[in-house]
Amino acid sequence: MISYVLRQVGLSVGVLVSAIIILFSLIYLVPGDPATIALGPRASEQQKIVFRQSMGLDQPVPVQAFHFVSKLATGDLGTDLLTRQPVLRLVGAALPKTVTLALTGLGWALLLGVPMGCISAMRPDSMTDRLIGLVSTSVVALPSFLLAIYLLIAFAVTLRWLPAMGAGEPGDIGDQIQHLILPAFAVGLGWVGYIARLVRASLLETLQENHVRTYRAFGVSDTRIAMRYALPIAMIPVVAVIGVGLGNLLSGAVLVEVVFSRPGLGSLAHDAVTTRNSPVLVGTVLVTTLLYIAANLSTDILSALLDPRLRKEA
Amino acid sequence: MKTSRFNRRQILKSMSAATLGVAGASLLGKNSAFAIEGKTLKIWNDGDIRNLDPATRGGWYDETTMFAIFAGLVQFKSGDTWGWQLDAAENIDDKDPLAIPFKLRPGMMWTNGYGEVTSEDVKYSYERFADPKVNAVYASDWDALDTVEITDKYSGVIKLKKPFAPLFTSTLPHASGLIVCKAALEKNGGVITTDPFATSGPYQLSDWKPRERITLTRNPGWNGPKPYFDEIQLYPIADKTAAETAFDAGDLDVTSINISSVGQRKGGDATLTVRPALAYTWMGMNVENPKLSDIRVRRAIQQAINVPEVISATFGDAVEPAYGIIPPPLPGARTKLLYPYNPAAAKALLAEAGVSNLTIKVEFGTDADLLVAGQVMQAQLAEVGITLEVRQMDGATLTAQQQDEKGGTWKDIEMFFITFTTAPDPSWVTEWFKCDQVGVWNFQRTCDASWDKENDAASEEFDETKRAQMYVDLQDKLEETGAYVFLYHGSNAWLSPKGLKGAWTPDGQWALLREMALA
Repeated sequence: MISYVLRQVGLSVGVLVSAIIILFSLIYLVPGDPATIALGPRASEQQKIVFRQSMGLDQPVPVQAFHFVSKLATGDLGTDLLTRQPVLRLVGAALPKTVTLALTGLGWALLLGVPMGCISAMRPDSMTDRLIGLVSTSVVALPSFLLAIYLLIAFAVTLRWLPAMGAGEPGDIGDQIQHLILPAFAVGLGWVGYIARLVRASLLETLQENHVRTYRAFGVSDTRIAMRYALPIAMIPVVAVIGVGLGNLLSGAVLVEVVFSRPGLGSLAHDAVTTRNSPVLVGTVLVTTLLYIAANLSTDILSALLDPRLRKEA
Repeated sequence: MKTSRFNRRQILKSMSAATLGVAGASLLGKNSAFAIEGKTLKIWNDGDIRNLDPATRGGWYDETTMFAIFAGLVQFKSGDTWGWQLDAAENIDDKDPLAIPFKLRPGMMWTNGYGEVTSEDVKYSYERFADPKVNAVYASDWDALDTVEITDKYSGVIKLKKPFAPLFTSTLPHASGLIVCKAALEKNGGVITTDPFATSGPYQLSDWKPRERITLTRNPGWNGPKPYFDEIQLYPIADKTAAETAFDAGDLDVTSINISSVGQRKGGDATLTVRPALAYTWMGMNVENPKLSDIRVRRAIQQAINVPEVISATFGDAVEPAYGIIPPPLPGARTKLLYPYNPAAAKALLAEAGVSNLTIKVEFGTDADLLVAGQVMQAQLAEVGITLEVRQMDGATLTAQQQDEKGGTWKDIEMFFITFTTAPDPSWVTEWFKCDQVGVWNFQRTCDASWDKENDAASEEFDETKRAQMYVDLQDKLEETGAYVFLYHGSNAWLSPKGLKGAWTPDGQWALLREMALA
């Protein structure tokens, strides 16, 4: 198991290094002068030169990348070109909001999706199964940002039950929960359907296996077989998909954050792209990549814990 | 060892209680948070603060806050007409164009214990625009400054090297005229970013949560007219549609809205304030592109476009067509075109130039209104035999291509839509069309030395009638080049509660927070 984990960690470091190289290459291939955007139309060429020098933007791209990696080793993600704030401070303020949103969205999707999938699998082709199938297929295709807009209009504007913007007062948990309900619902709804379909298919397959027949022969009840013995096996592919899906969830959160004016990583990256604020963009994407890697690493390890065959293969 | 265990019933009970708690808190909390609470105003801001230094500030997103936390000698008047009124100055004399004596109101205190505002601070604030260390982006606002002579603790004279007409229109009342604290800046490296170190306006910056909220509270050291609100919270929201929704949901008290929303807001529950913007949107043509190098082709395009029809299709009756680049409230705004819509003339010009089956592209940033305008023009140009390709792209990428003098990709630009905003003086409108701006901000690449000379002369002319006529002539000459199709100036629209006495600059660009009050 330890060698398996070490191998996965090694692969993750490789992914991270590749991400940094690709990121720097892409950012500096994209046209647009950060100095022009930061200083505005009234800046002279001389002023732009001074700005580029002060921010190290006049250096060749490999040198900038080297400086970035050197600083990264000391926990410094660079300086925001526009506000001169440390990028780490901006990312540090935005990160918890996005992670909370993504995890809450995924959390409630799991809480609802897994039981729905189980009920469907235990009563295949019943009315309940068909109804759950209809609901889950319908919500899978619903884009989260579109849902976010409708939720906003219904619950914030018309009913005025929940707030329409922001992430809530820092330190006020109740207020933060209020601000989280609608965006988390929008982010997670598509996943409810997806998880329900996945659990159903996986559980149905597991229930056909020989060891399940043996449990039946011993007189174990269907519910106990499904919940106690089949579900943990059926969850292995679900866990793997969730790991990959967390990346999609983070990108889905970008649009939802814009709709709800939530100052998370998504809107930070969006602003950084439009203003060619490369240090903020690099910092944001790097942290997102780290999150993605961490999620995948966790699911790989969790899958290996759930399925001994994976450990043996490793 | 004692372990705590929950059974299924207990877990279900706890979850139900938690759910009800959250729902209850949400319902109760939300319903009590509508409208203006006490003396706190929640207002939209078009972006987060980036740089609060008068010499190197970013844009409106900074200036709205700056006008509330700093004081200038004078300030913009709110209302429908441009003008100035006293701020930190007790009196100021604008009769002599080269020497402007002023006297500060005694007893104005800097925040953070930096003492009283003095004429030393005024001298430092204005003269630092020429300091290379400051790298002042707005240095041209004080180009004409010779020195600020100090008479005594509160008095001084602003001495200019040459007459400068925009001094009282776009320098002193604007953010370049705000006074910074000499002692605080000298102590902190001479440059402000998002921490102003010390301020002397009616409000002070008490809290800033990046990209979330800017909180202003009363400045106890302010001895001028007392502002109404105890606290003002500015919410940086780039998307006006999202801000409008937040207003409808009661999360914002005051917000700017898109022009496309104005029609449906008329006669609604909220107060709608619409002001003519100090902006100008036009279609430019790159005269150095081979397809557009013949003036007859450019003129044909000018005359093939029915601008009133384009504007009506795009905005309904919310926006008026433009007749030049200078917006109507400013001196020099034109009232007619030299080459209005005339498809027959356009066809004749194309035939004379020997051009047929012309395919040409117009590029612009991600603006939904301009996309509609482009589609209408597509139909109009088709009537004279021109095929228009409408291409929307990232605005920063387009600007980078237009400014790409090294790579030369600017040559591929044919036509483009572009919007500029301006300070309330015509000199800042025409500045960008000079020869030294070719490839910088003059993407039409039109260049005429005599035009530049006339433009410089207009900024030194103090006779208002003469000055206005000079700017009309300058715009006539731009139209003569054939490289410009003037489209619209736009509007700024705001929503506020019925009981609020809103205060904005005449163009509606800046909310004047210190003057906002409940009626």
